[in-house]
Amino acid sequence: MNAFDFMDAFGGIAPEKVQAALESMGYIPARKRRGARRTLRTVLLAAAMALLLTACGYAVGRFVNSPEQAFRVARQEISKMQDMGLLADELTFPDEPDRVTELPERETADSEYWYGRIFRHSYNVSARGEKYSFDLDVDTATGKITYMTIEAEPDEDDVPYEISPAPDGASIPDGGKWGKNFVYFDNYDDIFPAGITLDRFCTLLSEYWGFSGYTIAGMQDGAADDHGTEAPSGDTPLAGMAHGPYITVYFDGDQSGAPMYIELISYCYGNGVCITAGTGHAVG
Amino acid sequence: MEDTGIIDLYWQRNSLAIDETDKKYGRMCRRLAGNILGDARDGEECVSDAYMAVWQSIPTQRPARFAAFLAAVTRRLSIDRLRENTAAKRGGGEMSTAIDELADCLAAPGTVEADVEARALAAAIDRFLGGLKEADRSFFVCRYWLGAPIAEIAKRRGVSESRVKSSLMRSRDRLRTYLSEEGYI
Repeated sequence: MNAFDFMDAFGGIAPEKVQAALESMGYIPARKRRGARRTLRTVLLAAAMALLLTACGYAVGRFVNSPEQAFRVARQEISKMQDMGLLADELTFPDEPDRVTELPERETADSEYWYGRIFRHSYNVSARGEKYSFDLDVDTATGKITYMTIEAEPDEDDVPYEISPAPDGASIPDGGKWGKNFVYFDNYDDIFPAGITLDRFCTLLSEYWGFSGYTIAGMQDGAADDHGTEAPSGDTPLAGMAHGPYITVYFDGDQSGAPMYIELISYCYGNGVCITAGTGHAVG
Repeated sequence: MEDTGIIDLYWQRNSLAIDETDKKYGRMCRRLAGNILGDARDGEECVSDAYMAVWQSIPTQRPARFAAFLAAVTRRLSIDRLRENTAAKRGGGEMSTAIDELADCLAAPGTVEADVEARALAAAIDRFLGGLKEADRSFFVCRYWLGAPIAEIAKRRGVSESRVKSSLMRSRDRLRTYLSEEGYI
């Protein structure tokens, strides 16, 4: 027997031993182990908490308890953002979701990519309509949308601002309207109000989330992670930030040191534009 | 997402299963493959292959410990790749050193080729591990299953490197005796 034979066979040991090793090395989070007394105390605390939450439920916001409810809340929150002037009036939300997925609370203290943010228990709501598509995280404790990606396809009479030959080897959808070209639109005003500035957008986001202010920031070595290294000016029209790096924003009262970001994209296949904002960093 | 939810996605043949797997366990898989291969690109390929292997094996399986299951698949594919690289005299990560450490205590003529023999050996190793003290077992599995560097094990467990090294040496000696008595070497 050589060492590789041993290694092959070693791979077949009981999963519990592997799980314990993975946990002890911090490769995966350790499962909680509780004694009976602690469990009882936790149950009592949970019961007390439930009473308190019920009593002050109207004060702290709604609670989301099911995928169906998450979808309804997402629709209401998008409507609220429209009323606030964060999103364009003409934006329409689909009648049915494509998918609603429950996301557990997740801590990222040991992650290289997530800046230690704690992602609260939420539902991810994915819904695609004829013109608009949504990918939203709805916090179950507050009902707020904590992360949003909204896409808008161009209208028939929209004119692309750039048509350029696709590079060799690029995969162009068969029968595409635009032939073997990359086609870019800038119909951002289908998603947010025309002319809104970065400052105004961040102010409204801050109001929506209940924060007391914000700081638009650059990031050290940001270029490597597609973040800007310098803070853009707040009076820049939001649509003017398209095609740039992520805009990094720290909100006052948010989790300490954990940035949020805003990103605007124009798709190269002529299928419109997209804005992403919130906690779901795609950095790293 | 809970593991049961991810497994449900595999059963539904929903490609989101792989996204959720990567979101939750991508770091673990890359770390493991990195320990074994010492090469990021090789490691990334093994992780992708592992996701495909899991996609193909669920269904019909429903692993009770999904992280351990995924880790086992990633490890097996990474070791296969390391075996190829070793034959071609290319690269090798921390696991190459770990294998060298074991080679001395396992050297014996013949090979374990039959699958049934490998499974019997796995069961024997499991029994051997069961006979070790918890700390010794943990050091052994972290070093030779995960391929973790000794310094990292010491740091994570809050002990000195020499403590880990001496534990591993004692465990290797016991392993040699044990496998000899069991007739494997």
